Amino acid sequence: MAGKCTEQNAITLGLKPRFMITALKRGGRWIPLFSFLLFIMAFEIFPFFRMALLSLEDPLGGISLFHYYDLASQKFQLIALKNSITLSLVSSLLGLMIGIVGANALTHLKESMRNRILVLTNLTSNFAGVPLAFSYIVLLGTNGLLTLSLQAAGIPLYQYFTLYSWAGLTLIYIYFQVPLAIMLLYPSFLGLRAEWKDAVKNLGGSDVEYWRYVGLPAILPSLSDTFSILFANAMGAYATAYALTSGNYALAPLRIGNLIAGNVEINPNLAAAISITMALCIIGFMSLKQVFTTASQRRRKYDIHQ
Amino acid sequence: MIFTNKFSWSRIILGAILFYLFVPLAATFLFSIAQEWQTTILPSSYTLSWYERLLQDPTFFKSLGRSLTISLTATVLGMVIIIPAVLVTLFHYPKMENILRFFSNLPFAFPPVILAVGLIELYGHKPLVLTGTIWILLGSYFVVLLPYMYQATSNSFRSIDAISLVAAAENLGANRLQAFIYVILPNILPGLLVAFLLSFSVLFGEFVLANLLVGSGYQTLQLYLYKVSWENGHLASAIVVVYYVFILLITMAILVLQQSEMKRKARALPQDEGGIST
Repeated sequence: MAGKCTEQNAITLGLKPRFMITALKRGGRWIPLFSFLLFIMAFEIFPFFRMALLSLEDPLGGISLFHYYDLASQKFQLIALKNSITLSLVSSLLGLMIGIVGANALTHLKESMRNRILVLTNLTSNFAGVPLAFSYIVLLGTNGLLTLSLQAAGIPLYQYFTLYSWAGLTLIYIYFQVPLAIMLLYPSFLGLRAEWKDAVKNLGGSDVEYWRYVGLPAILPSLSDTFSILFANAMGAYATAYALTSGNYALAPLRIGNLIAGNVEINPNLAAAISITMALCIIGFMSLKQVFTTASQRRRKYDIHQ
Repeated sequence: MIFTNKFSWSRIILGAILFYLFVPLAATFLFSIAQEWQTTILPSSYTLSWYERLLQDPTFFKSLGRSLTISLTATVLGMVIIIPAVLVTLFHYPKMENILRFFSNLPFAFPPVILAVGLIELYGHKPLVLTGTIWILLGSYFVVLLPYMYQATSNSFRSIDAISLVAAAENLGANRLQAFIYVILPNILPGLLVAFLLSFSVLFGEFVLANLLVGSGYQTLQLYLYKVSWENGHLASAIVVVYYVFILLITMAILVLQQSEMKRKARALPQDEGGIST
């Protein structure tokens, strides 16, 4: 019995240096993962769960859907959510359309010129938030450059349009969607081969038929991807609208901001309920896109097998 | 004939789009050099005095310094934490990769304004009050740059086939660390530099979290611009122009890096093929 013990001790002692090295190696592997998870936990996962819990806290204690009912009963908050969704949909759709035209035009240019234009697009894609809102005030505000020029030309723009309205916000949101749309779409348009068009033509197909049966199916996944990214981008945008309307417009992100850090109406629970609703909208939209893409892929696979 | 037709059409379309994109910038620039501009369409006289005033404004330099400090620190912190984590998962825990990717893409569904709700609740109360300090900004900026940094890092490791490279280096007698420092790092450096610049420019323009979590406690350039835009439009225009020159420089740097990398790869490719054929 005792002999066995010492034998085991001897073995463990003999193994110790090697064991320590492997422990060190394991540590070397674990430390990066551990620190990564630590940051994710502290600043992404815990805040998220805290917010989810916040939205479910009942004022009398326990858990309930009280704040969601509260949200559903407040017309102002519902309008803000509705405004956010429509603004995001409209600006993404129009941004996508301009992006399609732009990305398609890019593929017809020489490479050197294409690269130059991409730099400019990349540059303007950084143009968002406070500086963008300010620039638009300079351009289209009540005393804006364009407003005054149009007035001098006999068109009183301010009678039909103010920047601090839904139309103004839509205009600005489209503006920051366009460069992003072009940059996201352009690679897939570049992937459309000239030979495919020739092949359709040789088989007697028209331009419309080329787009209907070859071009569009090839870029469809990229279109729906881009659309959902644009949508999420617009849904989460805060700075532009905040700077333009000093936080007073009925948009979900502005409502959230006012409810957690405003001066008048602090209600973190309601802010959390709005946040969860908004996040569900974004996720729902993204998964809708996912279903759509896999369906089209499955169909294509089926077509090929036939 | 059809080609030239299309070519000119494309030029017109892109010209129109670029015009649309640059008009607000041009207007801002014009406003920043305008002296007298009340009722006329174009300024009646020009001046550089707004820039002069900006250069004499200590608050401007302080907020610029704060923006640079926080963006740089957060970007470096992000790189130091994310790159080794991606590397370790790639080599030792491939099954963890999906989890890493999931958390890195999560910020897409939860924009910063939503993140702020939980952060204020968690770190705005005793015993641990971080709101109003630079620390909460540092931590939340980690989450903001996570998707960009993760994507860039995992793409660069993939594009050079890091696993085979390390295996080759180990066959030649190098250990893991040496393989990483002498083989992997030089290969992914341009990609990482691009990720660095991209993350930096994203954080440099960040407003939401700075405004909601910290506010006047740590006034960054964006917060200062917001404040000035209510007080003096010309001065605010000058700040916007300076900001854009800065972003332009970063964008150019990214592009030069990407193009030199592409050239390097194009050069390397024929040599490789030659190696195979002999």
